[in-house]
Amino acid sequence: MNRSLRPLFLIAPAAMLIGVFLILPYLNIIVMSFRAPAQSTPYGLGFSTESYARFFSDSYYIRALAQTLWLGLATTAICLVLGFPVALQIARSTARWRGILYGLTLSPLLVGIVVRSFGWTILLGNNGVINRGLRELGLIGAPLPLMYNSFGIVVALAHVFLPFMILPILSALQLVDPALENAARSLGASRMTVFRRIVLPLALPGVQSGVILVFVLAVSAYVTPMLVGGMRVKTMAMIVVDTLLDQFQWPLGSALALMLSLATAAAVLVFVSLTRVRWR
Amino acid sequence: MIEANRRELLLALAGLAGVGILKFPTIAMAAEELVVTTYGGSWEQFWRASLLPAFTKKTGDAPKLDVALGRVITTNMRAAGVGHSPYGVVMTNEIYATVLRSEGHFEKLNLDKIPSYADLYPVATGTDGWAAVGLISPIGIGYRTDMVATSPKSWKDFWNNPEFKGKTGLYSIQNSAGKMMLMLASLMYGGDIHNIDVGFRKLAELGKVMQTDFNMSTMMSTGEVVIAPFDFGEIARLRNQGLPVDCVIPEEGLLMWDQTFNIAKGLATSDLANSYIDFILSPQGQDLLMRTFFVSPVNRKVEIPADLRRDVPVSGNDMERFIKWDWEFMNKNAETIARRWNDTFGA
Repeated sequence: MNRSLRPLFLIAPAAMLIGVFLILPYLNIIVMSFRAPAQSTPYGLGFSTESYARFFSDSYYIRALAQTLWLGLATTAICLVLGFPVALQIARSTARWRGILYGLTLSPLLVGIVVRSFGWTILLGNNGVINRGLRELGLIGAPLPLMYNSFGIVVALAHVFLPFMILPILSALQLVDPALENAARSLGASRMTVFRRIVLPLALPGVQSGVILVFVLAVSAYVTPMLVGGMRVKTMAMIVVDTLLDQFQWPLGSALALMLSLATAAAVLVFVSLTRVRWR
Repeated sequence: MIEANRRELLLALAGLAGVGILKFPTIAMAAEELVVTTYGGSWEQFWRASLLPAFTKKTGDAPKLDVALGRVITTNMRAAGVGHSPYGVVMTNEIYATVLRSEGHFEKLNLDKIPSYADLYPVATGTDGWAAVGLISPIGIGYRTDMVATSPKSWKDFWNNPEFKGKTGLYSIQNSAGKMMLMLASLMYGGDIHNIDVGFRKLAELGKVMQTDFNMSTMMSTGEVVIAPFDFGEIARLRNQGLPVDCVIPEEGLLMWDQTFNIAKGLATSDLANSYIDFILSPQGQDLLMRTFFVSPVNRKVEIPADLRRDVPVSGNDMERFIKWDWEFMNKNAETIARRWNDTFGA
């Protein structure tokens, strides 16, 4: 076999998988989004841009998209603020403690997302553990609105996706040579300066990966917003499912799914360009 | 041009056979096998452990079971196209069956082969022989007996009893029970199930309600909701587990989750499909379903035993108390209605 062709053969299985299970379905969704809408069939004859026109002319969908992106952004910010110190602490721990903390970080992933989200409904509900406890202590008269709103969804999503922020940051921090920090300290740099000028820039690839992972997972989340939001907060993922499976409008559902993908990709691109890592 | 010797041709054929083993639908078509559908969880368990073995014992035939919700069945049948259904007998809510029927995915039942059809209550035969309702889960008003001072009697109590404010549960608009609540409000306050402007206005008066897509039991058991549209079978299950709940037949009538049985068009096993539906509708099939899910038997010949009367309270004359709905209207306006619902109950 020609040596130059060998890498192509090696990547062929993966390329085929991606082609069959990602690219082809995506192409199908793109074509479907341009199909003409219909009433008694999933789509009509011919092609049309009506589904996109409806998206752009209807504030309902724009509002839902904005709300979804906001939920993703808030979740990502909370995960970053909570996750970075945890990753830093694990990276600085002794080998024995690092194993234990690493296991604790991973442990939520061993429980299904439905169970984790359901756990939050038990905690945050109007008759849940927190509200009941506060009521019995006489601290509140009426239940606090902890669930069935964006607040509850962000709290639950942050918990569900926190490991996806911690792990990439931890990987990046473990590559930072402690001698660099020691050298800076010995040259008179304060702890804050060391963190700002050395630790943070070197951890940036991990931060970038974590932020992208959490953001993409959060904006496409379905189960957690449905359970914790109590169907009151409609995210784009929920609207896409409703449109495709309950209203049987395949062209509009496909267009909405693509608009969510495009908006997410655009947000990720903006973030990557703002936090560009200089690879050398 | 591609040239192939005998060995390569044999390899290619072997490859195709391999694909056949993988059950790629276009190559490995299960032409002569009847596939029947049910739902997951306890439904699937019951179908596998009790219902299908009983049918096999009676007829000697063994249909294959597939598990899918109505929305998934609808999507799969549409994707496969008319006459190429992956399912033989489809069990689903009438709201989904209406869509598939209008698109030509089903064929009429052969009533000569379904003698039990003649024994059904009228509520189970409303499709002019295109389908039969095999299971009815009547939906009344479920409530927590320990958290409600005045027991509800009417659907209007949702609006009139202040102790339910903020503790009312509703099924979301994705669930047919949510759509029924909209039509019910339209009927009670606007005189017609199609008068949804009035229906939405009245629903908005309920304020913040707790919504669920399918599982009301959890919210009821945690006390998040104290009153909700509830099917009697589920209330019976919760009550038998010790939860202080009850369910009443409201003055205005009942809602229901109906499971209609439909036969896919162009089925090679049509006789077997009709025979299967006859078994479901027969006293034997209905008795099995009633004892497991506390559903109301659709066959007039089935007597509710004394020990089940509390858990299966709707039968006999009460089978005429179901309100009639217009699913074509709801499907036709599905998007607008879903959006208005979300605007009404959104955070």
